[in-house]
Amino acid sequence: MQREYTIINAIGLHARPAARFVQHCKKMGGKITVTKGEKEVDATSITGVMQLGVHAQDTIRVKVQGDNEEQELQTLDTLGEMVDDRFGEQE
Amino acid sequence: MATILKGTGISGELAIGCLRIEKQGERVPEYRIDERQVREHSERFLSAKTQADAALGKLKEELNEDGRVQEAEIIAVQQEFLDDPAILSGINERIEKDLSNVESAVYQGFEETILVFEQMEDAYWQQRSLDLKDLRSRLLKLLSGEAEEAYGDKDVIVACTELYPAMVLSAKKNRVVGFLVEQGARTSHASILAKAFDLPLLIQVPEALETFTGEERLVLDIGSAEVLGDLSSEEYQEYAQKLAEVENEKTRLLRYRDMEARTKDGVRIELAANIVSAEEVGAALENKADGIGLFRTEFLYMQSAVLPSEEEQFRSYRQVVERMAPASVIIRTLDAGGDKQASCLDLPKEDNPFMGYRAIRICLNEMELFKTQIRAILRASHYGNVRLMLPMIISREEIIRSRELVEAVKDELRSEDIPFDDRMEIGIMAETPASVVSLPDWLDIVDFVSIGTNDLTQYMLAVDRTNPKMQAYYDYGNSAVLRAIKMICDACTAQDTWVGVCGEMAAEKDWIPFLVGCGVKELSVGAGRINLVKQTLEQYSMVECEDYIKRHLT
Repeated sequence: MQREYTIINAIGLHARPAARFVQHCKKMGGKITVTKGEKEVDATSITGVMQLGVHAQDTIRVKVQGDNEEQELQTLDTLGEMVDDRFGEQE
Repeated sequence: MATILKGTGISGELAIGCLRIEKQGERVPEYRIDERQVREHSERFLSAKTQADAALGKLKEELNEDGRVQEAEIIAVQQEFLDDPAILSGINERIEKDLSNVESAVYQGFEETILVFEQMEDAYWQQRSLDLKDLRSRLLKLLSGEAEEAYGDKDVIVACTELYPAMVLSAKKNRVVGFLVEQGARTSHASILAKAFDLPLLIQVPEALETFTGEERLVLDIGSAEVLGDLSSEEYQEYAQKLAEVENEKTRLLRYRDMEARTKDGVRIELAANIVSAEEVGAALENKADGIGLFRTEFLYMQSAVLPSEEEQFRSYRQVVERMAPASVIIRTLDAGGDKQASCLDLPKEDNPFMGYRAIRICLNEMELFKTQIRAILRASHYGNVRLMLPMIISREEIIRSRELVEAVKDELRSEDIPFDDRMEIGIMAETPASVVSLPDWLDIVDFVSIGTNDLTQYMLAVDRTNPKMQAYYDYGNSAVLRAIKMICDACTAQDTWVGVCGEMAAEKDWIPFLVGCGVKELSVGAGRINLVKQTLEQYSMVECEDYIKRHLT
């Protein structure tokens, strides 16, 4: 299962939001990857996610391969909420 | 005889402590292990990792308890780095497959990622490599078995080659009262954190570790940008007394934090902060600045080998603008040249750089470069209250050409459906003798004026402010400087134009009443001086400020 998200944090997926992103993916389990453009990285690797260099308004694609569909859906839904919430950063 | 070295003062005022040298960048032992040793080395790594994680966790908790939530997050990110599968597998593979000893496996395992970050496109991401180095040095120290030495119960001044963020964050706990750094940069994270904590930090002292080697007592005097050793006991006594005064003053000033800046008779003066990078907004907010009176953009150019892209600039400006909104942010366009060299601009060496190719002169000659910056500023204006300020203006023509470029960029953005604030104000710095004389002829096309007292003093008096021999001549109190300021303010008052001051004079307690008496609406100072300025303002009524002017100009 996969989904696209547009990152709205002012300076993109920098250290703090990237840490929250990675923590979420670790917690949900399964094999999760993130892609920006051509580059695909392990979603549980903070250096990988940061090295994508995701800036504000960039679109990323998250692919999840879990134990069941419900879990995959949950992973992507929660991630969507986190993206909309700017990963808890102020505007 | 005292030993004195010069450097660049970043934050704090004064520190006295015993020297402690923080060793960095030493070679790690490098050898091959045999397969029977793999387990031992893997376990040593695991144990170092667990210890590092625990130490970081503890540090994070302490910062959180102090209400330092943002700083605690920096530590949380390092913990996440420590648990990164890419780095961990890199280290494990080196031990298990390449049969490297654990120290070199850790060193090399991090090195790969550090290099990738160092080569990333913009400064923000490049800075992250320092966080990784910080973490690596923590691990290597644990592996070398030299347990983190107890700092004991003495105040300590740490000397090192490069300052890492975690060193600043754990300073208080270790009784570190100041840092002496051989390299260092004004805009590094560590510098910014030191400012946020108001910790004395002296950087760019290249001979520090050769000169001071023992456990001698040192004095860091940030005001004069010096580190002093081998002082006589009388001299120490003097500094100790000065330090006590500094501490008392700090406690006294705390009560101003939640007060508005007003004169004795209640006239509200805007009190804004000067910043050099987006990261410094935290300090401005913490000190309750009314806005940003000067955002120096040249540091975006100075820290990079290539010209900063529109995107990089936009991100940096937007971050400041969003966090300060609805308060105003005055963004000054590139003011490179003079004493501020930027390698990405490839400026030729000049005999007389302060009189030479600098600031607006570069921008109006290299219009593409200027256009990129104006696009970035206009785009950021959509997210709050931006005012654009042009430096080093000497003619009406320069203002007209700059405004025309802004209009052209606006048309471009409109056609691309990119939002911006159409009413963004455009103002100028008053800092050249030309601006003192001709300002009345320009004000119909200028939305606001900010007086740059550093350059104004230097140009009015023909005194090079970077020349140590000229220090006695560089005097705000010279009546030519005072009259120039008065003329600028009178011209603005006559044409109902907003005028502020963003030079260092705005934080000088002897001159604040003069500036306020001249009619300035805003004083913009380093975030750490805001409370000091409030205290001074409170001591004078407007009538007293006006008397103050009469006393100095007759």
